[in-house]
Amino acid sequence: MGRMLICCGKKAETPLYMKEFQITVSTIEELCYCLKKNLHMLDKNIMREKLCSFIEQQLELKTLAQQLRTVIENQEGLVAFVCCIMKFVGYLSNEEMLYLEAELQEVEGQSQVVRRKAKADFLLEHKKYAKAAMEYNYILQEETIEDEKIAGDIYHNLGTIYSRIFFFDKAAEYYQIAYEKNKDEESYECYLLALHMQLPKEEYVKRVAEEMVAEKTALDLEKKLGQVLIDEATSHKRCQMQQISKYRQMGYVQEYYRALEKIFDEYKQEYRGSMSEG
Amino acid sequence: MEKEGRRKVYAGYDLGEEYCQISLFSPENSSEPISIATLLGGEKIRIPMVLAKKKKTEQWYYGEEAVKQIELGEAIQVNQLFRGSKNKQMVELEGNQYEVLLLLQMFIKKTLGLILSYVSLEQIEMCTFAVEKIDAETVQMWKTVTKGLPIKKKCLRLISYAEGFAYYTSFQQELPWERGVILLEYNDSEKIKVKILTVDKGTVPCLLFVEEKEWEAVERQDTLLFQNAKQLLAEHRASVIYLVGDGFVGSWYPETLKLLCQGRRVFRGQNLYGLGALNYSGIQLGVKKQDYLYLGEEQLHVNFFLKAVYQGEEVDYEIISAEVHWFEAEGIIEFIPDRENEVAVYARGLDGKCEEVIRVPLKDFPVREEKASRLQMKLYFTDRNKGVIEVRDLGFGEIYQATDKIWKEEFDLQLLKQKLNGNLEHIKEK
Repeated sequence: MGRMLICCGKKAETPLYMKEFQITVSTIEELCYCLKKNLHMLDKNIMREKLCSFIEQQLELKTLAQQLRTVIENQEGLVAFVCCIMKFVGYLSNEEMLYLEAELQEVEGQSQVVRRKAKADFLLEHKKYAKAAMEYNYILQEETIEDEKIAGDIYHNLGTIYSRIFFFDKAAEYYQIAYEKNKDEESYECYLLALHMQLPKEEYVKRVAEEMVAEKTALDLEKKLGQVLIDEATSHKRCQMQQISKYRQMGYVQEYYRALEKIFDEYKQEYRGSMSEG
Repeated sequence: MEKEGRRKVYAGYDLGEEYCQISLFSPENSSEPISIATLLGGEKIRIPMVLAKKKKTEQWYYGEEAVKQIELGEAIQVNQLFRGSKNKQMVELEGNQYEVLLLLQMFIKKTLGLILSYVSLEQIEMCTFAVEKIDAETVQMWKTVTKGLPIKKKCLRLISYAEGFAYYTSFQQELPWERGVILLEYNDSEKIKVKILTVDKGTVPCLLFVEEKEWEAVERQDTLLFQNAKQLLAEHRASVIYLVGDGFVGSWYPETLKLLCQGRRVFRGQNLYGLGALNYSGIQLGVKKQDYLYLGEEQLHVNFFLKAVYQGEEVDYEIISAEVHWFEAEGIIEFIPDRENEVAVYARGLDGKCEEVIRVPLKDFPVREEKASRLQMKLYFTDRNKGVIEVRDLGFGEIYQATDKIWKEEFDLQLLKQKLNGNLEHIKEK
């Protein structure tokens, strides 16, 4: 059975940028949503006075702010901090609260490697490639990774980052290391794909033979690539470019250049956003 | 008993068709309400609703002075100031067209100037206008006319004469008014207006009701008046009677007066509605304690709420309560739907026993994660019969953009009242 949650507090005139979630929040409910959605990213850094002040002054929830300050002062931990916010707002049902508490307990007990990886995965998912790469590299260089599978997955994701910015040679290198560590067929497949994108066709074929790639694997890969090309042909970006070409064909010079400029601006923004380290 | 904050200044304005009257409470000037005289130091407190333009100029007279100038032939009267405003009429004076509504606004401004010998208008923290009847046209007229006043919109209120009567009477602590009160209003050559006040002590606060009737004009004939009064007193108990209006000036009704006075207190007054409006202002400011609550035609008689979760608790979250005037009623609430594809607004009757639901289906709701949409619901009334519920999508911050899509549902308030309160006896005495 559904329910209605009456909104608490005010909408902030000056929203708060939460770097943990790469998002700006204006209401307490948005904060609850972000906390719930990104549980595995949370650590004690979220328990800070800046957040309490925001809740008190911008959202005008003085009681909640005071409760949170008490949690911080008494060093009650992340679970208490997050649950305090959730219970105050009533964002979750009783059942959901129990589940949240259990998950938070698990997160709190997780190693630094797992938590940092979760953060890096989140950044990757949100196309913040530079920051994600920084996080992954930090883990590889500074942390002791006991689980080879996790190490492999980190290399795999680094491979993904490099392939997304078209550095296919680097991507292939990382995917190969990933496969050696995690023995995941997906990593091997990505390795082959990166090679395919990087090398001319003859060289690729030669390489595949040298590495004794199974014929079925190679054929499956070709099929998948073919499908990707078909999907790309009907993608939004392709349609955009086709539209722009039409302007040129029909002689609408101003519209053509205007549309091109707009697309380039979008691409530039997207690239800058993904490569920003700030 | 007045609460803290008795230093507040507030006013009542009886806006009639023939006369207006202003009452003021200003603690610096007096511990009692002041009925503003038409002339400083004078005794006349009823201001004729007359506006007149001095011939061949743009100078305007109002009230007594206007009457005098018209009689001298020096000014031209604007007829039907109140009715003309309500009907959005234009008037032609010496070849120029004037909007009667704006002339009424001018009149009210000029009459409020009489307060200046006591307080400045900016000091007034609440001013209640009392009019004979409230309908959609009157509300519209009042809103327009009061726009230009140097009193903030949130400090202005509107009530009917019936409500003014109720709030005047309920503060007469020295009178046994709880046993029933009758008001007779007679302005020459018009019908006699009858108001019967009763009390329902079965609730907290106690409820006040005013039944209204009319008698045919009696043309100052005592026998006719006597017959009407006798029948009325046989049907309704009253321990206090008020006689209002110029029609009751003089001694033409000795037999009726004798009848009325049998076992009752009888008063003649000119400023009952103004003082009632003044008391209402005091209640709104929290300065006067409200032990009694008036419920008349203008009030909703229905409580509206949502069954929702607020700060973790399941509650009946009030949107608008029953005693609010329909023309002032507006409830705005923001909430997050959780696995709901409609908004259910609940309505409950005065005795709290019956409930009805008004549903607003959220058709074609944007596809989003659960609990990631913020909706704003607005409940208001376009007239005393029609209620409207509007639900707007506000998105969810940076997570989901607002579509500003609106879902709307209208409902019949009178039908709802009948369903929820139909079994209640509105006239009770205990």
